[in-house]
Amino acid sequence: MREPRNDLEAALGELAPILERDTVPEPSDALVAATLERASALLHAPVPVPTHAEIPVGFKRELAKLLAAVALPLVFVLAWNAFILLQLPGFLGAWLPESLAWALPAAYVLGAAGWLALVFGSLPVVAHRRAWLRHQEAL
Amino acid sequence: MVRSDEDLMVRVQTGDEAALETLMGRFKGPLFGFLNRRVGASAADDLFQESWIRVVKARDRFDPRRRFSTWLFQIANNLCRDRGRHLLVEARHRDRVLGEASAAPAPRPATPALTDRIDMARHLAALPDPLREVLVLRYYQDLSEREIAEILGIPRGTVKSRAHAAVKALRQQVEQHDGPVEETRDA
Repeated sequence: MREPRNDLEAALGELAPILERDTVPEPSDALVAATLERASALLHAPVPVPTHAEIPVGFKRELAKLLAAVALPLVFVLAWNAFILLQLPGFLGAWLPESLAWALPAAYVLGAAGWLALVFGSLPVVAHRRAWLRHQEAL
Repeated sequence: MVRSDEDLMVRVQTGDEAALETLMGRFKGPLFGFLNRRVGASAADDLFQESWIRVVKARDRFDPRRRFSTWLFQIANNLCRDRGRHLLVEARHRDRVLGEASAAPAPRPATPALTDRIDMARHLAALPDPLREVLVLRYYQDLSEREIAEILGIPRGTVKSRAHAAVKALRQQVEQHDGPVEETRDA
């Protein structure tokens, strides 16, 4: 090993004579040949095209996890927007024309609703992707 | 021209058998050593084969910007973990059987070197799995903390603390068995 750069490397260096006792043989030629044969056969086999059409195992669980993660923030976002919509027109009405005092909070809430739709609409897509990747990892 | 591991893997992605053979030649020793120390000699052969099968099956998912060695050890380590989970019940049973067997007088090993090898393998095997995997990757594979963190999917700080804990636990075991480490070192 190189010169120790920290206390861990120094400790490993101290243990090196003991750790070096554990010598492991190389894999046998027969094992390497058999592995190469199996792997090569797969290499030339047609790659199965993963289908996204089917709902992968674990999709519902992933979706539930995502929904649980956004549930609490959603409550706050809804409460905040309700507050804006109900309170802000009255507050702004003191300085602005009535139509504008309503239009501004309404535009804000509409924009927020659009973002919410985007976020929640994408959850099933994200859940599908995560479940599919997990399934592929397990192959 | 010597191609990098990542270049070779890109060629494997296109179905190049020679590239696969070269990669296997480069990594057969390190991978087999890693598997031997992680799961023992009896399972290392199977997992060695299975690791390469997974490499080929998942070849399209390899990102050439990542190091091939990290990816390979990640696959191998996942296989070791899966095996560990599946064999947990069997392992408990085996421990009981081994415990009974060790109560009987053991046959005398052939050479001191073999005794050392067996003792060291026992010391390693006695470490908890999370400590052993870090120690094996850090010392025997000489990987950096960043690479180990990526392979194991844990923060670098955790790698560091586990490595320290592994060294401490191993030192204690060896000292219980052989006496102080310094003496062993001088011997």
